[in-house]
Amino acid sequence: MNSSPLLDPGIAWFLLVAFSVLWIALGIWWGRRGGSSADDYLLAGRNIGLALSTATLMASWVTGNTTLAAPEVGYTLGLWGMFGYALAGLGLLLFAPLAIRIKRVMPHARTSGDFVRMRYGRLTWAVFLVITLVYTAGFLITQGMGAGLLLQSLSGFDYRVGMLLVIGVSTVYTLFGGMKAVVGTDFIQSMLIMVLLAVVAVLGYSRFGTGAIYAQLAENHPSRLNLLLPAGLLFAWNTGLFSMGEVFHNNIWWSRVFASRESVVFRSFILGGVAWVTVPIVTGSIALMALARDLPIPQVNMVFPLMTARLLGSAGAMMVFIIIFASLTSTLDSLLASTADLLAEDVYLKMLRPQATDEQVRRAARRIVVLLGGVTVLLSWSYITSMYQLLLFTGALVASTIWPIAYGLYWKSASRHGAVVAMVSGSAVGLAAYVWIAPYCAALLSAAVSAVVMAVWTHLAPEDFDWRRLAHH
Amino acid sequence: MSATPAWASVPLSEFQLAVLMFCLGGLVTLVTVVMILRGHRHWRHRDPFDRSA
Repeated sequence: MNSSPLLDPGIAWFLLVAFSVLWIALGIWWGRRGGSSADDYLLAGRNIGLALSTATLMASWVTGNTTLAAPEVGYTLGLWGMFGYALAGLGLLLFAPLAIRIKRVMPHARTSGDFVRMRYGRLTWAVFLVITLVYTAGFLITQGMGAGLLLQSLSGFDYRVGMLLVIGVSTVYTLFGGMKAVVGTDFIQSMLIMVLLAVVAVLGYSRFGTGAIYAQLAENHPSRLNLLLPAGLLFAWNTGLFSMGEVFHNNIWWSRVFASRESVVFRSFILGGVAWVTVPIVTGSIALMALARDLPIPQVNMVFPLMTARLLGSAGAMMVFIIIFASLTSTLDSLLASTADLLAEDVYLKMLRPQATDEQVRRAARRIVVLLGGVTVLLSWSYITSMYQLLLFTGALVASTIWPIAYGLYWKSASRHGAVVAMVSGSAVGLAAYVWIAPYCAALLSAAVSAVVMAVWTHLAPEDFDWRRLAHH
Repeated sequence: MSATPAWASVPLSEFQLAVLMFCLGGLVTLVTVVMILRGHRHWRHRDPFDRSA
């Protein structure tokens, strides 16, 4: 892709080895400190405090997509791209009230699948599992591809070498340390991301000046400042609804609820959401800087690394390497741990081996972590499409779960038949919109149809659900 | 992309379609936020298993 790497391969190898050794060593250390039950491995003993809980939420939500795709939409859509992407913070912020309800009504549960199965029955649970597994596969692919692209663009590594290394490191420390390792490394990774992003933004804007950048954009790229840009208007709310679908249904976030203390769970989602919003705004604004400076960008989703490296030289390339490496590993470890948790609980224990002991569930979860790491490598083997386009495809599915999840947590009248029809019809309409209208409307139309179906069906055929059934896990 | 089916060929300009989607997205987001906040307020000081709620 680039004839001359932005970061010397020797420095890149040093950073890669140093951080890989650090993450793996910490993972093994934290894994040995914990207890030996499945709850210790999968949910860190259900005892995470405010600082760790906030940091792990923020780090897990700062994905390779936030650092690579948010600047991409900032570059292509301008202000709406930047602020529209920041609306994805709504997912974490609005999950805060749901999280406290989950913690109180399901104190012993382990996964989001537990809720759907107990609240709506096995048919809805099966549809839900299909949606969440397709989404997880898409999410894992984007992180694997992001890893390969990062090392290729910055240091000239072969795409597959970079991808294998990042997935391998994440898999190893998640395997040994479980959720404790994930949360601990997330804390360090979130600190690195926030501090280095602030440094990059301050150095960049102090060098070129905000006024000069605005003037150049207004003169050469006025559409990027146009708040009535059609593509921007289409994009704006889609991201917020997509993020709600991602967070409300996915076990990454449910496992954080079960793993955190009840006294901190509400505040940690609010604080994590607020901290996260700054990341797409900073990376998006750096992409606007690249546009204003007319920097040649051979591949649009690499605009942030390329701009930072060109602006700040090898120090900038090192910073962006660390930021994206931390973003990718913090998201991959969360995905691996929470998906292993979901599959061990919902598939292995509930479908295949209902009599399995706690130790067998723990061993199954560890095997699933390794299996998922291997599957991620296979799925990411070839660079197939724009990362964000792929993620928007999964948005059509996950946005259909917003209302069935939230409505079902608060209203006993929420209908199980309504929930399954809402998920199926919302997904179908979202996919049709993705193909025939625009990828940016997929999540929006999926959420709209699902909400109407859920509300109308519940109004016409209300249930009388007994909340105590959720507590009997 | 596949060929656009008849039902999707609405006689709207690109800008009109974008404004329509922007308004629809704002409405769905608002309704969802209201639903969640109502639920949260309802359960805030109650027994989480209250059958009458």
